[in-house]
Amino acid sequence: MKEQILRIFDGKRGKVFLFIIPFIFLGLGNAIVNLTLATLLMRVFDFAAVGEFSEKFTQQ
Amino acid sequence: MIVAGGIVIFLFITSPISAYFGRKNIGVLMGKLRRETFGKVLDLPYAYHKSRHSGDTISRLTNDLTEVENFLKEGFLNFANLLILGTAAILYMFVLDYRLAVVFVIFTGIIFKLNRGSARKMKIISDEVQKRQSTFTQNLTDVFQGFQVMKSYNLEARLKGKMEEVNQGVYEKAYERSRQQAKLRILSNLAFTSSFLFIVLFGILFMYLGWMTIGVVVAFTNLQGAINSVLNFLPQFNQSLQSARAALDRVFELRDEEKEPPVINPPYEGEKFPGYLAFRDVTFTYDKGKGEPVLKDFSFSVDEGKSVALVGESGGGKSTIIKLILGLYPVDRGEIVVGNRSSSKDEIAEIRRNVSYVSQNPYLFTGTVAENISYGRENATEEEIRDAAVKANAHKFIMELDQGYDTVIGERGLGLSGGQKQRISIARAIVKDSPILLLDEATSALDTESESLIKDSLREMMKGKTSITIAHRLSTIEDSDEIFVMKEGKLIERGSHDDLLVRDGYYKMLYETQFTKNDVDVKERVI
Repeated sequence: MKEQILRIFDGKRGKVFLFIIPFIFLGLGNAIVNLTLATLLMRVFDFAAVGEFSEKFTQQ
Repeated sequence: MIVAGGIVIFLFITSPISAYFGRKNIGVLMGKLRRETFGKVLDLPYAYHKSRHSGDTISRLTNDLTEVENFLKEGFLNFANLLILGTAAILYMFVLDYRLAVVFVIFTGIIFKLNRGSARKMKIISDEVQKRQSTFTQNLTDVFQGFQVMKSYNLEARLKGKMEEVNQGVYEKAYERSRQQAKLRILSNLAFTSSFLFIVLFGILFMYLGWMTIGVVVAFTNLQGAINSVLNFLPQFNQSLQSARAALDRVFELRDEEKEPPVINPPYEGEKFPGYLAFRDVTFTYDKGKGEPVLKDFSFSVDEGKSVALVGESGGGKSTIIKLILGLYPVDRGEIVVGNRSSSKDEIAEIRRNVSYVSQNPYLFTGTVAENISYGRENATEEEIRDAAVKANAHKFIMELDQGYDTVIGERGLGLSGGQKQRISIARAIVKDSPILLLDEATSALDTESESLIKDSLREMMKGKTSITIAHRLSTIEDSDEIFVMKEGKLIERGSHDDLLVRDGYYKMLYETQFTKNDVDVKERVI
């Protein structure tokens, strides 16, 4: 497998790296969006579950 | 905080740009693979193409490379994207709570193991699918190449049946692949659903123990959703990967074949190439190590400017001599000298540059008439092309075509008669202006009128050149300086037409047989 990939890129690892750079950025962008969403959800639920908001919510 | 925010915004904005560049990279890479593989096909020796079905090579250039492209565009692009997402999600899980993250990783590991186990099986099935697709292409090529024969023998139903059988084979294997893929999908779905349940259960337990908050559990389920997309994609990715690997194996197998030395085509200039030709103790076998030699310790020489004709029964080795001069096959033993060059591999290109070949079945490429003639010499001017066509008795009919020399000829010279195609191919040989000519039954498939025109063209072309002509009709080679009579790979008689008739040998027998037959044919026609 590794051999096949290297053959496609004339045995040059640098070329493999250059090829995958856009995919890395694409993946990072997507990951950042998802992790930000997860963090927001965590904060919202924690905020809702404990503290002033929770008490007011329970009283109502 | 500002820096982190900046990175997030940067990555968010660059994501679509990265997708564009990713797809562009794939396009460039596939262009390179196609170009190199096609170049390799052209560089392969004649013997390679003769020993394999053209459909198989076409399938490697089309089906197999398309399989690789599909993998890169759909499989790799999504996988690279999801792999980073999955890795980031798992790392974030460890940051949030390592205990729950460990539970999750164990289940992910099991799913991954399941996928790996079935990957090998998927590759075997994919290999078989590719092979069957190649057989399908081979049959398809046969149909197109032999369309006329198919119609004349009413073979439509029979060939349809055959194609149906081959197609069924492709379908069955592809269906097996889909079944295997579905199994993998079910397994990974089941495994994933259970991992989700475990996260919820363990999350509730850890909350009860006071190890984590509800927010962390919710974040875990959200991250697990992201990883779910990665895991759900794995079977599809595996299938695509294994198909691409099988396809790449076949492409690289083709590219690993030993090629001929590159044929460079510099301007036709420099010293005059001597029109001398000799076979020195040449032994040659088509199926090396298996069959009997077609030529054994075969020797002859032709002096510059002489015309030699090869005659004899079919299978006697006449066409083999032409193929060996053109360097289409390497000899087992001995040496072929053409001009001042030897048939050793490094000089094949130089020999071919100085030899013109006209075959029984002229091949014209898709392109204009002028383009087809200029294949004889890359830098031929319009005037030279026209002169060559005039000498080949082709100018008149070319001018009658819709756009003259700019008329586009269809596949294999569609729309032109056999005689017209042959005259264009002679013009191609004339424009090459090489000192040695090889004519393999150049007039045998033509009607009398075309034959007479082509004979004139050939006579014009052969002036001052060394030529070797193969002919079955002995009346066409009576004027040759020397006639070589071949039988079972041996030169049994040689001399001028008159000498050979006086000798009362095999040539005389052949001549009289043809003469009598022609006589009978004429009488039959009169009756």
